[in-house]
Amino acid sequence: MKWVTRENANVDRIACPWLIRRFIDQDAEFLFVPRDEVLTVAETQGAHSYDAPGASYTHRDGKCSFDVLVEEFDLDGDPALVRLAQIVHAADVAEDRDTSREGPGLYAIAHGFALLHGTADHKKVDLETPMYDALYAWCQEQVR
Amino acid sequence: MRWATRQRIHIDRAACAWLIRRHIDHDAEFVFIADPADVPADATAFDIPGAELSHHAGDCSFETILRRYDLDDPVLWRIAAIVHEADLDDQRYDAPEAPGLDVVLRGLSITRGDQEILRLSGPVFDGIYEYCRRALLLGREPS
Amino acid sequence: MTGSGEWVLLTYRLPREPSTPRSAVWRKLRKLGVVQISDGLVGLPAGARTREQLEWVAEEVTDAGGTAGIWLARPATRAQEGKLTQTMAAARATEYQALVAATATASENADPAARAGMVRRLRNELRAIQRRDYFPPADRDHAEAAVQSLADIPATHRGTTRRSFEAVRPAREPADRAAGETQ
Repeated sequence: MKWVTRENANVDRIACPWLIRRFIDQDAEFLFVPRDEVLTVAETQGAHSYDAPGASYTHRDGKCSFDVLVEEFDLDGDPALVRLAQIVHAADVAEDRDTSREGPGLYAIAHGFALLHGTADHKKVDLETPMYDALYAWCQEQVR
Repeated sequence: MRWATRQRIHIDRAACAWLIRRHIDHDAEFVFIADPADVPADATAFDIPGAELSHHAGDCSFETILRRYDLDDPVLWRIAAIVHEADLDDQRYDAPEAPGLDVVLRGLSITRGDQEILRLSGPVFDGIYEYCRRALLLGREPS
Repeated sequence: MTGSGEWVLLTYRLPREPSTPRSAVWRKLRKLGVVQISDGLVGLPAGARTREQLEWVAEEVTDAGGTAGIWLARPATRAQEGKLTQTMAAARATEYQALVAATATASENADPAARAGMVRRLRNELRAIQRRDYFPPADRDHAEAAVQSLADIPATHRGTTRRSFEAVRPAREPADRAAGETQ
């Protein structure tokens, strides 16, 4: 399946592809497009839209898109993933930055990659996938 | 040049390796040893108790290397604060980024070997450098 | 949680004078949560990080003119190991209980800004205890809940995730607080 979001990803739009590929849709193809093309592309290409105004899976009730995907796809039975979601949420949502002590660090890492690689979103996903794997592995150890 | 440190690298050694490769020796080769006695004669040891480039006077090895090589780039010292707090956690600095960076490195060491951790964490520190540089320029957290 | 069987031990001996290095070393060891096995012999459950932590302390001891050694050891019986783990758990339990008492005192402070400062300090203290907690006693959960309750007075609603571990809960009704219960 195709998944489309806004280009120039930072936290949420890098973390979500990781989550989608790992837990929801192994063969996912990710599209990053200008903000006002997201919904059009979703319709014309039959893609799921996320993290954009009006998208199928996006911020609501104070939650970030990662939170919403975890909930919508019933992944919140995995305590390690819930733990990871807290970190991603804190990194993504400015007013909740210190709700998780690992949040600011993930924020710095994600924005560092964004500053270095600009709109090369696929490259960012490739470089940051091992980071999210690592965070998830750490979360798994914490909840054992 | 060859550089040697202990196996099972964590944040201080990963950060030092990045620092060495980026700012001291672009052709640096790293060797991981189990016992300090195994440090090759031609290698410079770092982050090994007793070595010059390790913890001294409350500094972690990253800070010691900055001092010994006279690297006074304020961005590197901002990174040093993060690495120091992640490694020693003694509140010498205010570094809210430290726990997150520490945890990513811990996670990497769960599934990856030392050479791979170096390969994967290099870009992370490149990004952190950029992030800290921007933060220093702006006088606040970059958004 | 039981021990894994392997422990990293530090043997150390420091001159009585000057006293500054001795207290510095002992402060570090206390912060690491070591168990004292006998005079000049302390231990932690073996792991890459605990081993390194003690190696740096050993370095500090020798830098200060003392002698130190690092050993990897297995207690000869399970009972002997049980004594170590129980001692450590009990020490942490005492610390957690003191923290819970401190949160109760802090919760009586009416000023939200002052309470926010106390929450930060207590959270830091809680984490410091957790970092040296290898055999968590039940008091650990009480302490987490107590600090969280303090943080919730009077919390504004923040984004929630369900079944969170570090729960960010909506503000509680005054009636709950009056009941004097921590969750």
